[in-house]
Amino acid sequence: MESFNFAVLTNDSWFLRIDPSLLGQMAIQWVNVIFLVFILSWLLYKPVRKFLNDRRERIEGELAKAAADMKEAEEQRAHYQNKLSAIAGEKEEILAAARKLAGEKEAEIIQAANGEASSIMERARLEIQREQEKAKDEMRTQIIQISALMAEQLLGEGMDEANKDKILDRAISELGDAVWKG
Amino acid sequence: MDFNIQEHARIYITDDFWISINDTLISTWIVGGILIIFAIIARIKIRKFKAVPETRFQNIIEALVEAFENMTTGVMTKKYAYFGSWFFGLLMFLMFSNISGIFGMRPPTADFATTFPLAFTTVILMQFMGIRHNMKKGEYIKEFFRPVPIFMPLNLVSDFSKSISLSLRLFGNMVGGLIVMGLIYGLFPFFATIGIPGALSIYFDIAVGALHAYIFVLLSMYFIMSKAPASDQI
Repeated sequence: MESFNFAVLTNDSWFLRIDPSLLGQMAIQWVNVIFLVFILSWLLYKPVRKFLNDRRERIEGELAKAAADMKEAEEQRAHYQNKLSAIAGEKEEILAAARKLAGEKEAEIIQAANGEASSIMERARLEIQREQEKAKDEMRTQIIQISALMAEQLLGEGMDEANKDKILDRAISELGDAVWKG
Repeated sequence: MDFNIQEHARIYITDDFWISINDTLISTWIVGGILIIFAIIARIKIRKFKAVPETRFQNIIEALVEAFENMTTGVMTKKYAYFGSWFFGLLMFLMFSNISGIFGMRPPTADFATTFPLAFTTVILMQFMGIRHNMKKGEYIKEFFRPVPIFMPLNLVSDFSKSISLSLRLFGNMVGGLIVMGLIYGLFPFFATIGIPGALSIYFDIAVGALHAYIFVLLSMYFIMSKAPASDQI
């Protein structure tokens, strides 16, 4: 057992040797590769994969958020469009009501103006009538006076007051009916 | 011309059992060391990674990991994407090992002692998949006795022979490339070894190496997925 736990330099070579030492070499190679795979996975594969996954998740999250925002914006737009069309409808209603009210007011005002105009006309007509009556009376009086003066001239001084009045009344009644007819 | 694996030292555990310090082991350490340095640099740079890649390094690392993840999820579905950690490291190791021949090293994969444990791990993972995800332990073992108990040895061989086929495929191709390149270099006189063998080396060392690393990993994934529940298989 001199060679037990002993390292020696050799100059052996082989192409494919099936012997118990092959198992030892296999075990060492297996451990080497497992160790290497562990290191590569720990230092390179997993961190890069995590980085890529995180970025993918972040992008997916941002895309989902953008889609949600877009959807919300669309909803808001539709909502405001509905509101705008409701407002347009409301505006039409208000305008129609205002037009109706204005029409009513207009008719009312015109009616009131017509009433006032007709009452003014009526008052004017009555005034004219009164003025006419007054003028008639004045004319009549003047005519009578003139007539009386003329009659006095014609008949001289001999007509007494009683006759004068009699003639005057008759003349008035005749004149009144004849001259102011029409 | 020597295509053998050179042994430089032995560490004896018992009289009949020793650890051999040979070309394969040294190449493995060199490849592993380079990959670990690369991983450490990447790990430091990952901290400075931006959401929108600004450096070429970040683009390369992202493309590498993403392409590999797509391959894993494409073959094994997202449910079993956690196997990706193993296969990523394995693919990196095999890829760098296979092309290490271009730097004058003996590829670690041109040694059956390297390829067999990796292929055997695939078989172990197949059993893990069968027991963990497909059916209960008892039922899974019963599967080996179907359709009739006499089929049990055949079923066992069909599973475990995959480790032989996988490992010999990679070992054979790498050794083949090594021998062909050795013969070509031996064939040409010294002044002609510059240039012409270089083009062949690109094919035998890089193209074949990358291709067989990919094949090894892809086949391992398919073998493992063959034990997944039928509903999970693509």
